[in-house]
Amino acid sequence: MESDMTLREPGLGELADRRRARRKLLVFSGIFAAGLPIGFFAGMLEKGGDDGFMAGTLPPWFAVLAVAVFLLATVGGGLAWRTRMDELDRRDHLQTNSAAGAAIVIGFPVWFLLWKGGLAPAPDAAWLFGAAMLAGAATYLYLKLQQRV
Amino acid sequence: MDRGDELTDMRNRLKVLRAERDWSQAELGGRVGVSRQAVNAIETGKYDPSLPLAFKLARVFDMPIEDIFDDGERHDAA
Repeated sequence: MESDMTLREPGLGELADRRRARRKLLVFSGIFAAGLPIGFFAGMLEKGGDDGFMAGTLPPWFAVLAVAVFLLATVGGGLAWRTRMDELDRRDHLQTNSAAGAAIVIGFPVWFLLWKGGLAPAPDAAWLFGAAMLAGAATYLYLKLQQRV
Repeated sequence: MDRGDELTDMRNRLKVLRAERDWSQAELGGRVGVSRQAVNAIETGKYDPSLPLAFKLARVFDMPIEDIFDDGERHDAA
């Protein structure tokens, strides 16, 4: 790793690199800005959620609206992100998504068999989703740290 | 050893060629359309570039690909 802390004028390549970084930040900010209100209003509009995390219900209109915003942000934002990432980013995201998928493909049968054997509660979709997110995040972090060493 | 994936023992002269032109990693990355992090990963052998990117790098440095990248398998005829 080397520092770019120089006082000279940036070259054409550096300007292009900065533009790329700005575009990526813009798309990421857009995805984040779309997701934030979903969580905020879901917390406000949830009814009967005193028994635990995500235990309550949401008004149907909000559920439909939240799904629409979520799909727009993830699918649309994902496609926009893809056009702005380079091939190293693309490889890292592919491996990240593979790890997340593997967490479900491996995790569910293991949990299912343990449940059938009376050793664990019934498989829970939210926990499996969390495991997939965790596996993806850990993989991405590992790849990025490995590239920095 | 060829393991059929990107984990070959590929070496390259990017860092030297870049230094000769006084380019930063960001400068080179911007010229070939990848991030500074990607250039760093290639230089340090953490990532082998795709063939299209290798061609772009060769064009930027105005030299053949094999003068930039070496997979350790090339044997020059005596």
